[in-house]
Amino acid sequence: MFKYKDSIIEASLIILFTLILILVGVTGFLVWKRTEVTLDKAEIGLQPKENLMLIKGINSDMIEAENMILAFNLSRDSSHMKDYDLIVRKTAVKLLDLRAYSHQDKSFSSEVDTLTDLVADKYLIMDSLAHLRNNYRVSEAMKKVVRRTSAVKQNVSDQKNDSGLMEKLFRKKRDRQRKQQESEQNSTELSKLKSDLYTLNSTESRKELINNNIEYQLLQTEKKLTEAINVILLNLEKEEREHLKIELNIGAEAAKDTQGIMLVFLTLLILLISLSAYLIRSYLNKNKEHQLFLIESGKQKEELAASKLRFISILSHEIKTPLHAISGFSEQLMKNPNSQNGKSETIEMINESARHLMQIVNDVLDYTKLEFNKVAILKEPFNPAEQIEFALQLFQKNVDSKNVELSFDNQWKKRVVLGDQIKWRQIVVNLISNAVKFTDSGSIHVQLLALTQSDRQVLVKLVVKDTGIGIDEKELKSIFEEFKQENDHITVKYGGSGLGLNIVSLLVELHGGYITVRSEKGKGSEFTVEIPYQIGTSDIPQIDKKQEEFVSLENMTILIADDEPYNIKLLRKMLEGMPCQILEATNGNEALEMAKIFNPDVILMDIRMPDKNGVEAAIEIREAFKGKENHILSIVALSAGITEEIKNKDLDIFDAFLDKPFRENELFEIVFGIKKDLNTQSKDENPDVQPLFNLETLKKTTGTNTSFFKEMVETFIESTQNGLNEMSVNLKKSELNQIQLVAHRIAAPCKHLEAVALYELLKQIEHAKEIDPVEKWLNEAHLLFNQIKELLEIEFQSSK
Amino acid sequence: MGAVNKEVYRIGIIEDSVFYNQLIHRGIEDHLNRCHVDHNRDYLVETFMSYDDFYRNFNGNTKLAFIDYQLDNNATGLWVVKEIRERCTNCQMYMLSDAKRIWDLYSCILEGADGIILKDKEAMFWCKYILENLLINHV
Repeated sequence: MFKYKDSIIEASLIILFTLILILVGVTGFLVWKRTEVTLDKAEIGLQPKENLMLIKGINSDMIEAENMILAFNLSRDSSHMKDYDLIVRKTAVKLLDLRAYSHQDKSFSSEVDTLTDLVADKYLIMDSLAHLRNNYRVSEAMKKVVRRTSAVKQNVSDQKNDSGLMEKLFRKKRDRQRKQQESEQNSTELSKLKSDLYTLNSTESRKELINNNIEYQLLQTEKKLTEAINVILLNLEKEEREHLKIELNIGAEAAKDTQGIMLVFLTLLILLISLSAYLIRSYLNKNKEHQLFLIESGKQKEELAASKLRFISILSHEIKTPLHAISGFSEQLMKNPNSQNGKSETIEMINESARHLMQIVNDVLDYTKLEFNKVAILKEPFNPAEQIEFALQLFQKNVDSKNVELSFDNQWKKRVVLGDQIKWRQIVVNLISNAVKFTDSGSIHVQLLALTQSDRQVLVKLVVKDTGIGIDEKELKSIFEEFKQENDHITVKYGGSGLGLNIVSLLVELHGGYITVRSEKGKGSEFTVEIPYQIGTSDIPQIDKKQEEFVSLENMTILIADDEPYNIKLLRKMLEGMPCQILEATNGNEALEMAKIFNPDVILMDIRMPDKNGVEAAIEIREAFKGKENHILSIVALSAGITEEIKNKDLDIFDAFLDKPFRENELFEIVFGIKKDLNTQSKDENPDVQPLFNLETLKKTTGTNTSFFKEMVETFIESTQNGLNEMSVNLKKSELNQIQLVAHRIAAPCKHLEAVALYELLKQIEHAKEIDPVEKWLNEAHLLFNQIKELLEIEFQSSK
Repeated sequence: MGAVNKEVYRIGIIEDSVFYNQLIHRGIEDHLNRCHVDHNRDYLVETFMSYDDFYRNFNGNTKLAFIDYQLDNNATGLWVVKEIRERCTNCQMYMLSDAKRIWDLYSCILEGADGIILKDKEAMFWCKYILENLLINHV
């Protein structure tokens, strides 16, 4: 059962381990999947949002474009315009990209369209602003021209003033005249230019004013456009941020879920690891335990082998000693069969040796039975004190010869318990036997006490105290173990199988009791046995031992079936002088044949026989005698190894069992018992004749009160008569129901008086389905009742 | 000196068979006279031969009743059981029957009867046994 329980626990752990492993795998997979999703979401979150970037890019481009235009307007550097063109292109590309990203979201794409238009308008205005300031160059150029022409004019006047006297007079009059003409032309042109320039300047001034106005308007428009663009950009940015938030939230939730599953996964993983660790540890422990167990059992086996070897050597000595005596003394008798000199002593020695040998063998058998739990405890009433007195009587002679005083203090007189008398006797005899054996002088005191435990239970206490050799303190612990005597010297000096105390302790244990010992080397020992018993009544069944005196084996045929000639001879010897026929068979087949031919009354059947053993032969004999119901056959099993198991199994084949070696009186007890059974078995009465009534039950009911008995008989007669009469009256009226009621009423008393025939008739009437047959039954009932009445009256007359 | 008021322990037998009525009556009385001499108590065994007789004369202080199942005029023990249950607070009821009317007897048990005694040779023994148990517990 324990191993079975272990296996269930192990199997459960393995199943649990597998389940957790599967769960870990599943949760691990889920964690991986969730982590993937979470990472994807996080990736999305981390990726720079294109739309937002574009929106910001567009915004910054426009600011930059504005700056470029402003720079150009201030510096008139054409490189700024180049940069500006670049920015415009970049903005256009961004707008196209934004449009492309937003194509799935309709509201977003419509906003992008609006933004595109607004940005285009803004750039147009900026273009206009840039071109507007470009005309101013003309005015500046014109101013430069004016300054230049002013400088030319100054040169011409200086040339006029700087001509010399000689040059003027003689050398280049022509040149002078020509130069004078040129300068007059130049001054005329200059004057014209100047007036043109002044006209242009004034025109320009007016244009500048107009341009300023236009610029102002353009700037206003630009401002509005910029505001509108900013609003759209803000909306777009907001929307994008919202989308981003949502995606981030989704990612966060996925992360949370992942967290939860991760927790579960980790928990299961820890469980799995713990379980694995536990299983590994328990496996290692079991391994270790198993190894220790193997080592321990190896040691025990060695010890046991050593003990057994020692036991066998002791036992062989103990067995050989009496055998040697039996063999030796028997040989002497055979040598001188007629010599009377010391014959009775010789026979006594042989008998004593045989008894001793039997004791040894019985000890071994008892020990074996106890070790293999083949002993049953009987529950019969017995007096423990009586068994002690019996045992003391057995050893009285031994103690007398040794000058040892044997005393018994019975503090629980005449009390009866329910238990196994034989086992109790065995305990008592073994303890007293040990005390007698190991006490050479002094006293042996036996005490019997009882401690009441409850109304039904009592603890019987037996104390055996001696002044013997005592037991060494070191050996006290192992004194109850098998094959142990204190040491080999004790065995040699005192003999014994070394099983006595072991048997006692096993028997006490079997009864649920305790045995303890106190001892001092050289001073003596005290053994205390406590056994709980149920309190019995004082009625101990007395076995009538006188029966064999009155039973004769006359006309009895006894068949002895045994393959051992010695056993047949011994049985013949025992039954010698009895007036019975004795037959012999040496094996099972022969026994069967002889049984069929001679119809013996008793078969003494040995169990172990060649060819066909005693059990098989007995079964076949029983089968053969099945048809012979008048012949009663008893089969007694004889064997040296009859166990409880065999007895229980073959209970219906054998009538009795005799363990070899058995004594003569044991055989007689069984055989005479069988004969007595045969004698007392009477033939059956004629079963066909049934009495009309039986007053035994009524007598039992009324007890010793004769007036009560007579009254009841008279009542029976009167009530039944009245009932039958009433039924007859109702029959005339054809009232079946009334008839049946009355029949029911008077039927029961008939049953009480065992007037079976009358009872059955009345029941027939009670259950009649129609009235026709009732008349016939009623008439029969009247007749039957009249007979009963007559007999009852006769009985009454005779009892007076 | 005033007379001591003794307790009266009533036992009722409702049985239309003269034989059984007398048997149980005498049997119980005999038993009580031999085994239960009690100076503080009187035992009274009352018998009723029909349902009408029972209905008119049955005392509500009865402690034990033996009731035949099949009574006269098609009356049954079941009626008696029901009636006793109405009148008595603490009356043990045992059905007497020789019939194999298992269902009928069972229905009496359901109504409150405490047991069934078959009318065979053991009937008287069981009546005494029940009485003894009751008296032991009552005491």
